[in-house]
Amino acid sequence: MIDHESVRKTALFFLLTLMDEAVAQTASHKAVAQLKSGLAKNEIAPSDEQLVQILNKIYLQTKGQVPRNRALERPITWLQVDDAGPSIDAWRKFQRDATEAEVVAVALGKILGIKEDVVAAGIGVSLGTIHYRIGKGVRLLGKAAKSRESRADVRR
Amino acid sequence: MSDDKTPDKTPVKKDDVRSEKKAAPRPLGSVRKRLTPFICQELLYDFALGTLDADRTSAVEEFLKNDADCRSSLEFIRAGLAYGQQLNTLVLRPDVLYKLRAAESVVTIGKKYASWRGWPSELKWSIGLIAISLVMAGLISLVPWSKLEAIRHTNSGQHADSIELAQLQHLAESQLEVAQEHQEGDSVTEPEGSGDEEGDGDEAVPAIAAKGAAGSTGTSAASVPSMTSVPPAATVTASQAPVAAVARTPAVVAQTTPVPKSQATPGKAVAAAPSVTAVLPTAVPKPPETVAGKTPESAAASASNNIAATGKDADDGKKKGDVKGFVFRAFMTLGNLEEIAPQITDTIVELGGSKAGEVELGWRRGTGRYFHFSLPEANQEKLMEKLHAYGPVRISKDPHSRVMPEGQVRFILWIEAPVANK
Repeated sequence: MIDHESVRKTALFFLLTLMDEAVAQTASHKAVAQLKSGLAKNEIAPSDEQLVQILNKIYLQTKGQVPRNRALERPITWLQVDDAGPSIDAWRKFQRDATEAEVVAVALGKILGIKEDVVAAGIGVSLGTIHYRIGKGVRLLGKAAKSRESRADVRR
Repeated sequence: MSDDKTPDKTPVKKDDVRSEKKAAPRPLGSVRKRLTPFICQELLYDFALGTLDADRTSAVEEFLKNDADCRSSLEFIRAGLAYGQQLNTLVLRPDVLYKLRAAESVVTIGKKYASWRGWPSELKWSIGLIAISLVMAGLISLVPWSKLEAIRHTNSGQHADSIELAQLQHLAESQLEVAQEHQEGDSVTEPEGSGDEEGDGDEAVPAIAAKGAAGSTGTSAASVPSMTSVPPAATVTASQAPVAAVARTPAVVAQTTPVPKSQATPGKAVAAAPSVTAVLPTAVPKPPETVAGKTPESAAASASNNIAATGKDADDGKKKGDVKGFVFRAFMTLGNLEEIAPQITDTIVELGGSKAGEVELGWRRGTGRYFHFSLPEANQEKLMEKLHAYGPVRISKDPHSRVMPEGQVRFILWIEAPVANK
């Protein structure tokens, strides 16, 4: 058995990084199965490093199934219909502008809230590299978010 | 220690002093290094996170006052951090998460079913029942049942094969005995009653057969009237008659009935018609109840009950003793029996004979006389000579379960009147 939060993080990571529900579902299914198989007896939650390793590995295996740097226009049905929730349009733009490594780093470090050193260890790069990728990615993400806000303001 | 004793004498070089000055950490605030736009851009992320030291923080703050690009970058970074936190609050549909949570791989399935506790209850029960079935089948196939059967019979003092042989022998001899008696009964018996049903065991077989048949058929019209024609002198009851052959199987009884009646007269149509009733008269004299007024059906039924009751004991006796003994059966046809019968009785007594059954020597049955006696073996020849003097004697030596004492023989002599006299 695996805890709910780990499943949610897995699904959210693949939904945001792949932006294709079908591919994300396949990848999430595979990742959850691997996470469960890696759990020790009487353990329900994997460690953050283990989570990062498996998410990155599955992402590298499945990223080829989605077009590179092209945001999918398919509607996202996985999300709860909630008007108060954030829009992922800015994320779409960010995914188009940023590199894969930056997207993964931002998703892991800033959205899933995993510490940078753990992300670095899980991905297998240095802490400085992850810190740089996240910094750059956050800037791009903010830029995308700002542009979406300004468009929304103009429409209003 | 030497260094401690002479610290002042050691000359201090200028280079060492410089190196000490270089190695000492220089406080960031002490050096007012001017930031470039590139460095400021690189420090903005840490500045936004608040992880910069105070000197660099102040330097970045000072630089931001004069650089609009860096200010906008800082805004982007802060907006990105805020947006990232918002994305973390995205709520996914529970059904999607539930499906993902149930995801299994080969490893997880293997782990799940690795232990007996993880198996479904249906699978557990099925495997348990299959295992029990296999164990039972294995036990059944491995146990040497034939040997166990042999051991069981050995322990009980008998062997399965020997039992079967004994039963066959018993049956064959029983059939022979019954057939012979029936033959004797046919040759001796008249419808009014004859034969050696005097009551020592096997003589009543034809009578029993008749009783059984009467009891079973129940509506033998031929047999019913003959039962009421019993002479009052017949005092031997059905219960007194040791009906050894009664309990024998119906097959035995059935075999006795078809024996051809060599002595049957044309006037004895009652005895000749159904094979069962052919010997029925021999049984009639026995039960006094039939004479006392019981209906023929009930008399036949009670007789058959007596047969059933005593038959078991007789059968047991047969099994134990079986046919180690023998009996001589003699048959004569003589006229003027009223005179000759007492003479024969006297002769038997003179030769040391004594009655063996319940009835007296020369017991009258119908028109015949019945002699059942034991005799010293030494006088057997003499008796035969005496009997030959009266007429031809047919004699046979039959096997019998009753063993006589050493030097003694048992005779059953039936003398009947000629047909013309009847």
